[in-house]
Amino acid sequence: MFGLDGFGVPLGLALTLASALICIVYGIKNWNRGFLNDDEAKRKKSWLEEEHRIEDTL
Amino acid sequence: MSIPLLTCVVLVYLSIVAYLTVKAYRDTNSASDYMLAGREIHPFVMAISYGATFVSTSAIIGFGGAAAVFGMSVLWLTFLTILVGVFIAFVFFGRRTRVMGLNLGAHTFPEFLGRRFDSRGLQGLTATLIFIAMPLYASVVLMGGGKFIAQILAIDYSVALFFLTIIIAIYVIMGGLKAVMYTDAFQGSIMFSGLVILLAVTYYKLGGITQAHQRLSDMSEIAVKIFGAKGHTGWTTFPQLGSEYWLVVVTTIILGVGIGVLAQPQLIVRFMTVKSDRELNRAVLIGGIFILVVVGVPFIVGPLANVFFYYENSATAGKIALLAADKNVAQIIPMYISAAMPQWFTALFMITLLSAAMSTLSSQFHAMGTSLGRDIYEKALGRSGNSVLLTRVGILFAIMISYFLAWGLPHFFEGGTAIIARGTAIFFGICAAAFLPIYFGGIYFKGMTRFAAYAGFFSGTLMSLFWLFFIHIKESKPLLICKALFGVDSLAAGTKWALVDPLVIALPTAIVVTLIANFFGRPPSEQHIQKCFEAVR
Repeated sequence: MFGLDGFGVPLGLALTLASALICIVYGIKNWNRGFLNDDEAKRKKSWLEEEHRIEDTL
Repeated sequence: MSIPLLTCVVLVYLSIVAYLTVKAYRDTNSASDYMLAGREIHPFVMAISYGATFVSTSAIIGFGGAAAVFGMSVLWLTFLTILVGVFIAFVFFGRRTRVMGLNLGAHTFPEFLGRRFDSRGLQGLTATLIFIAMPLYASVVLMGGGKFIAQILAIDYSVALFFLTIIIAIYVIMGGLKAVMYTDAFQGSIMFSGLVILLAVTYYKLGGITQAHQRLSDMSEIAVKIFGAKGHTGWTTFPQLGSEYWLVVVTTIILGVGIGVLAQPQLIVRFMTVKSDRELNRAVLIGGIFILVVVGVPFIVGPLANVFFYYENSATAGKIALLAADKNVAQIIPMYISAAMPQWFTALFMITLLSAAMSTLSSQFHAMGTSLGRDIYEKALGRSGNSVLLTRVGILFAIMISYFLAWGLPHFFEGGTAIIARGTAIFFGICAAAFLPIYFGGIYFKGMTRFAAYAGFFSGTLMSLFWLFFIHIKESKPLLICKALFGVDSLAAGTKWALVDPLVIALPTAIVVTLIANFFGRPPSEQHIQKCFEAVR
């Protein structure tokens, strides 16, 4: 394949390209999935408030 | 190389780094900004920063040079880095780490483990291990960067090392993780562009993709003649199963680095810097492409350098890359660049390598500094104070240790350079064995006990150290302890065990010990588990 001998190296190249393709397809498919829901936004807000409270105390 | 051209390029580069540092400094108002970039980092910045941190100058020059010797079989590391280091890491580790990190209010990787297992002791131990082992890894990168600058600018190594350290110190201490990640993204973009051009010009010069590979395949007899006794079968085939080269390629390069990437504290912390899972999803796409190029290109260009030196370059005609570079593996890629590439590219590639060094170093300094300031001093020792200030002091301290290792070890200790050269492998191996079982257990197994976490940590660390000091000859020989105690370079000298990477032994040991130890100790409280795993899917 592409001038490469044997089995191991062509397989390594094919798997390299395939794994990159998996990342691309996964990224495109889930591009807009998983944004903060209300619950997580609330937890993040309370975490930030706690952080500021600790810093003010210090 | 044209000095005015190089000076202009370096000045523009440093001006952009300075601008990003000032921007990060202005945007940093709290400990979470300084240590976690405010959990608001853009997916592009996160993905490129992750990749640029992983790939250092030593990786491009060292692994590129190693590929010129071992051949394209090391491409398997590119495959593992994309699949394990990006896809599995972001999707199966990153999401859980991000949510759990938020649930627990963790700012660093040691703090993440410490809070997950409700143990400040574990936080302190994890941070201590990072703080002890990482300076060696940082000094590898510092040394690589310093030597490269010294060579290109024709200045003294100590001067180059000093200024490189000072520049990185300023921006890491000033802007914290925001400065580190903003500059990483900029530097990573340069690395990406430089390596794409390098690959395209290499293929063009050697007659196209298939033609270039075929010419390399046709050189297999030469490879067997020179390296055949060690198991080499050609630059486009795998080394002979079980041979010396096979063990090095498979256990050290492919598994050691490919699996080790999962347990790097300076990479794991990046999962906690993004706002939501959506950013991680997007980062998978960007990171996959980035790693394909920055890890894959040196592994293709390195072996192809043999064709260039043997057939295309009159000064080295009839010599393979290793011989053309006077048997200095680290010189193969720089020599290839200066002999094969146009002058303007040499300037760009210099910035590419400088970027690779700086992006890795800045993250290492930040990780060591937070370990010392936040995890050890503030949390494990229970001293209160301004977190940002403590971390800044920690970073300064870490930078000084790394600098003196990179400067002093080769000066005062005969085997210093050899020890530093093994720094990356040592750090990757120790991290994987000590952290991976407890990190994986911590995010996936609710019932994992604190006792099991301690057992996994100690067994992984101790087995790694034993193998490094007494068995794996590449480390045990320069470390000299085995020689001093037993009069031999390795307890397994002359056997194939001496070539097996510590990770291959220490990681399974740590996994087994963690699993067995989980039958002992008190299970975590229901309330704690609920807090840790809230919204973790």
